Amino acid sequence: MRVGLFLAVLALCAGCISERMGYAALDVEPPRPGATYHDAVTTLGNPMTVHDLPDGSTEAVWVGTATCGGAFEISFWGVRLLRLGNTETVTQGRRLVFDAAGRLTASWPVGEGDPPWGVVPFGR
Amino acid sequence: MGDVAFWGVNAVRIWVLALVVALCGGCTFSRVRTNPEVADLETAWIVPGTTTYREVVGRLGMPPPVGQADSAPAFVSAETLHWLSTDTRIFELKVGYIVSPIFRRSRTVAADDVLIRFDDAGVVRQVSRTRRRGDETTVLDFREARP
Amino acid sequence: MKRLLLLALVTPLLGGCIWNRAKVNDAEVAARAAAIVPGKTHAEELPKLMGTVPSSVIPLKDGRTVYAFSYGDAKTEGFTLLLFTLSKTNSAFSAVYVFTDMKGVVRHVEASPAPETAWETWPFGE
Repeated sequence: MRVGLFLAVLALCAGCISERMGYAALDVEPPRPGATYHDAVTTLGNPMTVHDLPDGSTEAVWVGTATCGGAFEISFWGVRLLRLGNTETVTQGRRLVFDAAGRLTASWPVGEGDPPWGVVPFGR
Repeated sequence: MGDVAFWGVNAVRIWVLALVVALCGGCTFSRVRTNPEVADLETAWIVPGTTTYREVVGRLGMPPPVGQADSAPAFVSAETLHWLSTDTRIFELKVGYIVSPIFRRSRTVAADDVLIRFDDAGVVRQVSRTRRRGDETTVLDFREARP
Repeated sequence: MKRLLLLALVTPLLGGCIWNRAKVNDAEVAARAAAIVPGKTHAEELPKLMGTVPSSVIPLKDGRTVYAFSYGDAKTEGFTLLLFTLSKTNSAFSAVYVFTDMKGVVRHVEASPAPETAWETWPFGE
């Protein structure tokens, strides 16, 4: 119990940083197969890039970034003695392909899941 | 709890004092808006299938870069012109007196977004305009040239 | 004594006014672009005429190229009052785009509107 409480206080002292941009800031489900490009824009907003593929289909890509980490400072009477912090940023997005009839046929995630939390900047 | 005391001081008062001391790091509410003029772009005059690339540029100007000076290629190409305005809301809390953990939450969304697609002949084939306020995305304009 | 006490109480309220300006690249490129002559100026002359190298080079179809000369301005205003800091940054970028043909000769010059940024403090609302 005491060890758990101590670890919880220690974790709280390490801070928490969460920054999301673009697609990573949206909290929506991607469009389902058969949806139109208009449906996708209604759900996700305009894509970052959109272009035609050689077979007549259309590819649209939404991207964003998610940053997670922590930081803390040790200071005394306005003098900062130490700042320790670490953040990791990953790309998050979605790539949608619409066939020549304008219907969603393929949907792939872009990038990885949420980055891990950490506060130690050293090491690999 | 009102009856509990530590060193003669009421526990509630100690708790309030500890909270005030802990918050001495301060809260910061900040916001960053880029290219807010995108919200005022007029696109109703554009006719998919008729309006050309030169006419669009002549009336709206070229899209501005966003965030970094070298980001222009992301918004200008032969097939698309993309105007983007972003809105970032940041909350930061530094808690504590000697050891101060930093808590920061930041969200950046495309507040106003105009994407115009062109065909190989440089004629508008699609106009798509969205707006995001809070958690809602609204499509303000979506028109395509008839095939 | 009372005045000193009043001063000591009021002074923290003036604690932190924030004004910050961040400029990116040279805004004079917009004016220097007037020296470009479509049909005559060559892409190799652009850095000298514009006073800077392009921020981006964008290839188009058929060998055409767009040279983008970008610049920006950001104004941050805010204040710190005891435990709270409020601030807002208004940022805008602009660019001069020089379109050249496959031989590198400038065909036309376009620009995005000049960046207009205001000093604003309140971060909430629309």
